[in-house]
Amino acid sequence: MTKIMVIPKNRKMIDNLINKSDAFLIGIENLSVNLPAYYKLNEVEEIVTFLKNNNKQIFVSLNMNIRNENLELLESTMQKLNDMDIDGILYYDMAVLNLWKKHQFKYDLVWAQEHFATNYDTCNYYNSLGIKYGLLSTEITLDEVKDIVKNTNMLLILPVFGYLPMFTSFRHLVNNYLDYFDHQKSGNNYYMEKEGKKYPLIDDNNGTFVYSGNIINGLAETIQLKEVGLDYILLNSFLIDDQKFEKIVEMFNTLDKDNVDELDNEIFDMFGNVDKGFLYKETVYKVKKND
Amino acid sequence: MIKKRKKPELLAPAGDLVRLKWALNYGADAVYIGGSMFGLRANATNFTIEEIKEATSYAHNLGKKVYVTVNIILHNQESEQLLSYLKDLEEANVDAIIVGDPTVIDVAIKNTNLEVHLSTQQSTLNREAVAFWKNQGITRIVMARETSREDLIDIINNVDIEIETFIHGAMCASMSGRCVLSNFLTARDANRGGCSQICRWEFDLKDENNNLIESEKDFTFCTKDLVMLKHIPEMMDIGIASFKIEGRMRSIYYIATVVSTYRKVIDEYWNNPENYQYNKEYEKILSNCANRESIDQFFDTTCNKDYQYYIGREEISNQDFLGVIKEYDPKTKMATVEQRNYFKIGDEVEIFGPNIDTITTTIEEIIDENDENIEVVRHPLQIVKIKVDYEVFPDNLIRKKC
Repeated sequence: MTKIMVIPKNRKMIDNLINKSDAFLIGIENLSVNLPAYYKLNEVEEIVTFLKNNNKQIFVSLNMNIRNENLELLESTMQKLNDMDIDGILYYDMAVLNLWKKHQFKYDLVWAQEHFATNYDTCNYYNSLGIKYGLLSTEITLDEVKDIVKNTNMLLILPVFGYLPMFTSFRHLVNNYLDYFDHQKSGNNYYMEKEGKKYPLIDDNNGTFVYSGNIINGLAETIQLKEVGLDYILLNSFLIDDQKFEKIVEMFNTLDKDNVDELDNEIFDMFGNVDKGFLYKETVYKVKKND
Repeated sequence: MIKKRKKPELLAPAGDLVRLKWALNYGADAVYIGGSMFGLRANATNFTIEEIKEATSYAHNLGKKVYVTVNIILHNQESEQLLSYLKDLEEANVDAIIVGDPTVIDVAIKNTNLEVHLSTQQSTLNREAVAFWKNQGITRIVMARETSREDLIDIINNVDIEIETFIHGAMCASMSGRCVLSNFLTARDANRGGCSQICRWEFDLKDENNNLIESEKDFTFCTKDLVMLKHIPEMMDIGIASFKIEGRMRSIYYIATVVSTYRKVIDEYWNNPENYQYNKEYEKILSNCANRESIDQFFDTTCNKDYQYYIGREEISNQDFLGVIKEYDPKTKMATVEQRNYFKIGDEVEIFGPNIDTITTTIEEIIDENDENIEVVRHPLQIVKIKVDYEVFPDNLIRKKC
């Protein structure tokens, strides 16, 4: 049975969605990126207690690229999380995996190198190292997702709703630009625009991050994904209005073959800038000269 | 005090056999090349297996090495051809493969004797990650471009593995592997070699209230290139095993210039560390053949506005490359030259190559193919003779005096 995993925007949203989600994914200050909220460890502890009291799963993302100077923080955070009843940790940097093995922490790991989980062989590679879960890339087609599901024992998570990360940098690319041309900085949130398409852009303490211009909406495809046995669909509230997002989660809860078209149209009417990402679009990599 | 270790390898890019030979002849200890499959420069010329065999044979005869990039992030089914390809590379005697996707590591280690280096695509930055990859059978890590001096020291002092770092060339604006702008904006897969370099594009920048932030130039991620010339002695002391030059699609002139310049710095410091003095002239030489301004990037600092490239030239800057020596007659002291860029009587030029000290001279006499004296050489690939008082050799290069 396919579970619903949600990335909530705030603590209140966790309360509001407690009966509509099977699992929650949250971030931690200074060790997570590309998430709508980053919590302190004591806040995580409270959230874990609340979710466990409600028989929900809780995953924590430690998906930042780690410098040596952050290893101590990483290790102590992983240790403290081990004392909580969390289900899994998402990782990008192999430091997390190495420390997990070294200390034999009890929680499971989620391979979350967001653009790298594009084939079942590599899922199986990490699975053979004891990694239970994998967060699939969104740059692959629906058919590729189905093939991966069929060919690995790894439990798979696929983002099917939300803005998608496209670019992660240590550099402060907006701040540098504003600084160079003597502009005042105005918060962390910006947009970059080309040919009428706007891309959310964030420059914060951790660097610069760019997101897809459109919200991916895989609601209709979720029916097929359930049929092939995908383990989790992931719904992300990042940059989306709270009420609208909660409505979306409700829709995924009530989704069936009879109402799928109606719900799909409703989502389009709510946002406008929704698309299917790469679910039906293959990328190329060999092009003609001057292409 | 950091203990000095063995002499580092100078590793150069080679887009084809011609450039491979130039790179090795001009002082590279090893080259990295792309094969016909699984490489991240899908749109470069790349090498067939037969050419790879020729490349390894040529390099090994000089006591040098050839590494092959097998560094794409695989999609389903692509791994079906992987094993036979890796077997071919093994048979071609390549010295190592450079890998991004762990599936390739797994297949290579279980089925071949190939040495496996980890690509910078994995953005490895810390000792724990390095230790993990070492345990997976990796023998060398190509570090993330964001790695600092402190990171390198920490890793080298804590994990016994070869460390390779970039010392020269273009930079990604993002963490390697964490940019799929190309996928979204042009449907070209950045992690399979199709990167369309969106980081060089210009965009309107708007604040969160959708107000345009107007400036003299549009917003771009474009960063300056990397140059580590002045840090080479310190990097040698730190114990970095391999210094990597970026640019498999660059010209022979670029390769020859960059390789020979770093070769000199490495050798000068290695041969006489106590009396080593940094030669700023080398910076000028590199600057003249660069596409963009260059800077030392993350080694020494967090990159601020001075590391971005908003205003400046953006072109293939090989205009100072004047010609290639084809032949030299010691009796007449006339060198036969194949032209690459316009030059004329009175121009001050430098002739450089792996087998000579750089010669500075003034063009005093030019004779064309009809044995007539001419003033200017304006035609691409035109063959002329020029007077050179010192002995020069085929494949020495002529450039404008810095």
